[in-house]
Amino acid sequence: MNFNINEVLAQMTAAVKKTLSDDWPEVKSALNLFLQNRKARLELLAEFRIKNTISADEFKSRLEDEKIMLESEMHVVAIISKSMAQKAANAAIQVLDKAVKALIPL
Amino acid sequence: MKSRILLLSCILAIALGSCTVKLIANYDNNIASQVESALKMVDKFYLTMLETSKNEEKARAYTIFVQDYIGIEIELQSLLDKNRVRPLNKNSTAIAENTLKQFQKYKEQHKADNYVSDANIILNRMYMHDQLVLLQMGESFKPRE
Repeated sequence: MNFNINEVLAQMTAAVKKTLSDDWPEVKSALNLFLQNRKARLELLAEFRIKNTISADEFKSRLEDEKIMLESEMHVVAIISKSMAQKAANAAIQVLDKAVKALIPL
Repeated sequence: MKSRILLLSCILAIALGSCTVKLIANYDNNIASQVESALKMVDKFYLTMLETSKNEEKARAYTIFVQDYIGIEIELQSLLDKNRVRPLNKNSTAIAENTLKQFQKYKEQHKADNYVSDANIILNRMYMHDQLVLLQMGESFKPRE
């Protein structure tokens, strides 16, 4: 039995692709939730300011809160990216490990 | 030659067998439950403030709500501490830090003005709720192994 590096590399790439595509719907729904929540906050914020329910200073302070929200959202994106990268890398290593072990006689 | 290839294969197999990539902390069910309970505490706090007190200075005095502020701040501080001690967890720690800072900011505003309007209660609840949802979401995306 020969060790076909091209075949193993193709299998490793397929494993990475599968992992990433399996996770994609969850990523998409997370990004949609960010947008929906932001839309709801900004709509309400604008309405309160236009009706003078909140002052100019309070409005300014809320925009600062939006910056912090955006920062937290970016941290969630980083968690998702790291988690996906970890899963994909381990799936690829598993393929290589299996291919090498198959060549070692017991 | 054949024995050298076999030896190399064995070394590679051993190396790969013990090799896993670790970029982020694993999912922690206890932390996820604590975030959920903090989320309920925050919602209950602001909804109670909004629904059970009149929109006037006397009814919204800071001292009326101080015990709830303390309870929630302790919970958020605990979440930050638990996230901070976990290795490979700097992103969740940063979200927990933002959540606590935001709550403290709203608390200090209430203390300084000794009053919060209906509009600001609604907005405070919304921002705190969404921050905690982000913390919850971050935890839920971590690997479960």
